[in-house]
Amino acid sequence: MLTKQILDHTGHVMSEFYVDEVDSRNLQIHHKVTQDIEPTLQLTKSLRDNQHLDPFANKQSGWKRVAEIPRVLYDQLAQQGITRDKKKFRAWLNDYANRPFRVWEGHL
Amino acid sequence: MAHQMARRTKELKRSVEAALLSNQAKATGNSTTARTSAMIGAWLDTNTSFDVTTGSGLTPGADPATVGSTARTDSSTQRALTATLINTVMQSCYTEGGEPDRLMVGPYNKTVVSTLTGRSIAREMIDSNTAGSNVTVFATDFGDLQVMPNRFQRERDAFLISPDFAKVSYLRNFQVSTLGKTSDAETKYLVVEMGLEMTQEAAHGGIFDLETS
Repeated sequence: MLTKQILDHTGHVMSEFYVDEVDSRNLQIHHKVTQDIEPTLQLTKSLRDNQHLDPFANKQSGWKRVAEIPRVLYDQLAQQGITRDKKKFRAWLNDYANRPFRVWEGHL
Repeated sequence: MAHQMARRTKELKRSVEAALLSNQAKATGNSTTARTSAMIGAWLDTNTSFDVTTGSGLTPGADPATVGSTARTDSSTQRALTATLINTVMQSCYTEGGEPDRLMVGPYNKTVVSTLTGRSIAREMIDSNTAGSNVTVFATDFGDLQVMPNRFQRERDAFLISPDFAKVSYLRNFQVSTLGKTSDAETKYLVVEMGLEMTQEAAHGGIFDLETS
């Protein structure tokens, strides 16, 4: 029998816990984290499309917003060791396939 | 039982994370008081920024009197998180030889960071749910910075972390023991004893006494 319980639901991230009781001596437990990334994709697209509206963007503070990465994807990158390796992380950010998460599209 | 153990393990892991990011000083403990390990708030001393407002009835912030052995003093006045504050502490870390690439903030201050680049358009577009569910990457004068929200830390603190110079060390890793049986009921307990191993506190930075709402 499969039972499901929501452990946490904050923002667009949901954390669920599944217990599958195969038989009296065999339990299978899964922890699943899901995120609705549509708001993130909308946000990054809006920021990309509207950069021209703000002529002072990125100039005053020396900061440039590069990307918005959904938490579930970031966790996956962390597990792969990409977020700890500056070269790999930059390569991931520069990969055209990850353009939907980029805000500023220049090469890093 | 397995379900309950998994749930309690997650609960304990959350407690561990909250402890690691707290302002707890070390204590050797005795027969009546449990020993405690110094956590990040009590470690940071070199690259810190805190509120120093003084006046009648006001307490200014202060670094730990003895690093690790005493907790830091919180100011009674709070201030807004700004890019200037972050830049100043990042520069201080850089001068000390550190290269922090993560900024860990509470959920409220994550929304503040999301609007730091001075864009009025950003303020309109970013809602707190989206900001709190993402990691924002900035290119700064001192390298790339991954800004992540963490709800287990104090909202008034922001930590600049160099991951290579801090780790969790376990005296007793997560372990389960069975307690004596009472009638038909089985009882187990889960225990972990750990501490924050700070290999070089000057590689990290802290910005304290931030507004929380």
